[in-house]
Amino acid sequence: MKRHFQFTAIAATAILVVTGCGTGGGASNYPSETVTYSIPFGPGGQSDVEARRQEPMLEEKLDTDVNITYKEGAGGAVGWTELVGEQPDGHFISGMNIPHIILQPMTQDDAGYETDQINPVAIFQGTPIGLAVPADSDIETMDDFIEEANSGEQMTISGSGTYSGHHLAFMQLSNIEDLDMEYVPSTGAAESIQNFLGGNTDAVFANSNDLVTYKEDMNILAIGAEETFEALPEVPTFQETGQDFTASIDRGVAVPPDTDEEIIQTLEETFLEIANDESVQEEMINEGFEPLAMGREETQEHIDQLSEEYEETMRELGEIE
Amino acid sequence: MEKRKDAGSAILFIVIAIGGLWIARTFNTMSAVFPILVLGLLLLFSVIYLFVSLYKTAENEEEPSKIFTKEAITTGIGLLIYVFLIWFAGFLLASLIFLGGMTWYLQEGFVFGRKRMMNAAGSAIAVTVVFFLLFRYVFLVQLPTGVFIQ
Amino acid sequence: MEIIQEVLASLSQPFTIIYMIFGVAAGMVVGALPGLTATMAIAVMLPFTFSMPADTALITLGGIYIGAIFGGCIAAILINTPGTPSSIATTFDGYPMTQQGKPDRALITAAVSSGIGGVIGGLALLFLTPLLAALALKFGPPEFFWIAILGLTMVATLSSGSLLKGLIGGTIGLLLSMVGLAPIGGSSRFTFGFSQLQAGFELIVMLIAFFCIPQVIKMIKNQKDPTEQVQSFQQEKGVIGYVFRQVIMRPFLILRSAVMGIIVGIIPGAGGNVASLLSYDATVRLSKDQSTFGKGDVRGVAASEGANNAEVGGSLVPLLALGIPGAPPAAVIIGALLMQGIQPGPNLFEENGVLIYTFITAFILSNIVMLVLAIFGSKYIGKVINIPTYYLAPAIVFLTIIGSYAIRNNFTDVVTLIVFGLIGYVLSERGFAPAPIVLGLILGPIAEEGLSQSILISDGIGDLFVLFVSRPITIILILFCILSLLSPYIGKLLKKTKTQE
Repeated sequence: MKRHFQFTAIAATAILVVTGCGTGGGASNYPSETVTYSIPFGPGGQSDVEARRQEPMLEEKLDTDVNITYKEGAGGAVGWTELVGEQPDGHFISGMNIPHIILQPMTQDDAGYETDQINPVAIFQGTPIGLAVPADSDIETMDDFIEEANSGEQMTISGSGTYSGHHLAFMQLSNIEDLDMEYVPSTGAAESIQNFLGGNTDAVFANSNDLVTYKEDMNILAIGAEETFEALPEVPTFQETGQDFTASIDRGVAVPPDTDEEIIQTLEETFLEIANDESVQEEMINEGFEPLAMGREETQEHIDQLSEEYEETMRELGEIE
Repeated sequence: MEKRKDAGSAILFIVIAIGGLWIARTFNTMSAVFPILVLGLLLLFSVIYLFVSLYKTAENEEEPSKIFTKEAITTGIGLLIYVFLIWFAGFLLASLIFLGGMTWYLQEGFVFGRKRMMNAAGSAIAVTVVFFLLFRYVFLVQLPTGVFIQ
Repeated sequence: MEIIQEVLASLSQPFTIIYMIFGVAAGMVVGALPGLTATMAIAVMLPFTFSMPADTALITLGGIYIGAIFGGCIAAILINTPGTPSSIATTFDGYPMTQQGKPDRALITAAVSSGIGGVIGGLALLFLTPLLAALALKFGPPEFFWIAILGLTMVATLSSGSLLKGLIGGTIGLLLSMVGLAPIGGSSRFTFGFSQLQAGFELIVMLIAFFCIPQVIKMIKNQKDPTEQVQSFQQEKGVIGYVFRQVIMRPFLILRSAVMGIIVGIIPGAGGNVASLLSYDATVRLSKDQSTFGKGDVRGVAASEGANNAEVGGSLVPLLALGIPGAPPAAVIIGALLMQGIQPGPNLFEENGVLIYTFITAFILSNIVMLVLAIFGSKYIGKVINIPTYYLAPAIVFLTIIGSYAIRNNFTDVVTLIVFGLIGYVLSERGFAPAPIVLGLILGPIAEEGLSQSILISDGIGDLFVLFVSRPITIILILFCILSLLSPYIGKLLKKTKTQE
């Protein structure tokens, strides 16, 4: 009888050894094992597509396996909560989305993480948010839109998510122009476009890649990029039409707090190298994105600056205390 | 007996509905619309259920099967221990213990002696290893390793 | 003509066919395991398709999708646990057939109706896509709300025994669907301060918790009770012919199921689960003799499986025509298209016509491959029920645990599974059937989003009322709801007048 127990134990130990349950070494030989690249959203989403694009180049440059996993839920909060609790040895990295990581802790007491716990490495992609109306609408410019919104009839604007990039763009626009409009959130970008294309709302806040895809069905009034957006050169920015704000979903990568600076540097260099790759940039532009290459410091400054700006807007609108 | 139990469940649901409504008052308007609607319905149905169960005639009752038999309780506790073990010792070890233990226990009255132990160990190792390898290396799922081993 | 030639050329490559068969088979295996869904099967296989040419990649993924949706019925029939949410309704009549020792009959019924349903779905995709895409856009928030309400009226069919208990179960399900961040409004609801609960409960985890765990406990409890034993499986002769006759004798049943599947499929947000449940419900209500449903009726299995495989075709319509996924697995296929450098959107047919037509043709072929594989497999798969409980029960628990963890890589889901599994056991023993609870869980988010958005779009209560009754599809849906609620009484009335005559 005892022999069987022993066999079980040996088999179990053998499996444990084979599958490698040990933890990696220090910063000098980083990376010493498979790097887990966690995506806080579902498979097939935009964050996933970006990570998949990077995967082979990451594996080559870091000289290790990269394993992409999905940790979706609560608009990314589940993934980031896990990130801040992971081992800070650089073998667990996670996709990071701005403004999500700023807005979630700001609006929810139990988000599970704080913005300053997210340890940014780099930002490599931007998705400016634009405002559009149906192609056959009488509204042709941003001025027409504001006039219409002031005419008394309440306008409805479709967007994706509550306290999300789209919601914030809506809040900033209505705050700056002092407009009374209704934001109609959907649970995803596709659903919100569907709501708009089906004629259920007057306008839509949409990501640049969707704007490029559906540009024939809509009239894009303005876009939240900082300068003229390459994939849609004829569309003015909000700043050019007189609304002083930018709206964009920026994708980057982050590591757990207290990760060794040397490891972060390795990762930063690798990600920036990929971000600066011409073919990667070209692909992004074709798909309707804005290639970015912001290093660690620049990213941190960007986050700090946006946090301040968002907090002010939210306070003015009475969304937070 | 059955009548008392039905009334008991009805009261439990009424408590859940009222508690839920109490919590829902802190939500903002759009977040509260649907919960209040549903909790209101739950309250309504449970109150009706309470009255129906109190005035139900005893004759058309079927003999209820026992819920908490020895086997059911053992299985329930086994499941809870399994979850705790996954958290503590990792998925692999916990599964070996659970599958082995459960198979051993359930063979009572069917298989005896040495064979009972062999079956338990064999099935535990075969099932765990095959699926562990499948998930770990084909589906690339990082199964939990447990706080004990980390 | 040219397109047809190119499509055929692309399809006649041997590798494409091999990948198709592989995709269907792999999908069936993954779908059969409780907790592993079609979405996950496609996501898991996605990286393998990067290196393939675009047509092969799409064909493989389409095959996996079809295989996985069918595979879900295997666990539903054999162990009363839907392998994917799409096969919930298959359990109602599929498992009773297993209990009678005829799992092969149920499996082959499922295979035949899935195959036919899938082919009809594929043909709709091939010929009706522009038309159906226009219909998809007609579904706005008010329609979503009413389709959810229509779904909820099924509680009457699903609650075996007490209607009141069914209604309470349904509201409990709706309540559970609200845990986490509100989709509209953003408050965090009923999380009791646990950040783990912010993401809400995962539908598939709850599905296994309410269906599978109670089933396993019952299985163990009744292990020594000879009156509760599942009949052992012995292969029947001529079962394939019998099933074909049963199904083909009822062309309207399959056609109706397939049409319902396609329509539900094109509505983004409502998936195969809603399709198969609605179809099952309609079949029960429209049947003259309802007494055998829930006791192993071939019609029940055919209605559910015919609809959920037709739904696959439907869910690809908005994807191919508009770039909007009609169901979660379709969303992953969008990712696959993007990675092949293809932008899904309104211009897909114009820009990648050959590829898309190849894909659709292969899709129809895959359904036939699935049918053949399933018929041959059913002989062997059915033997699973002959495995003694002492092996089977612990192994099922193990699979559900590994599956529920793998869905979101989240340990919280494992804890949820066991806690609600035990609650589900007590509830089901107290007469609260799992089906209404799960129905509430599925339809809760659809109903809530529809209602909340309708409120936001409209200006005040009066306007909301106008919004509900001024749209043609909502009027139809409201009429269906009323019919559905009154149908038991109409049936009784008809019977009464008949007996009086």
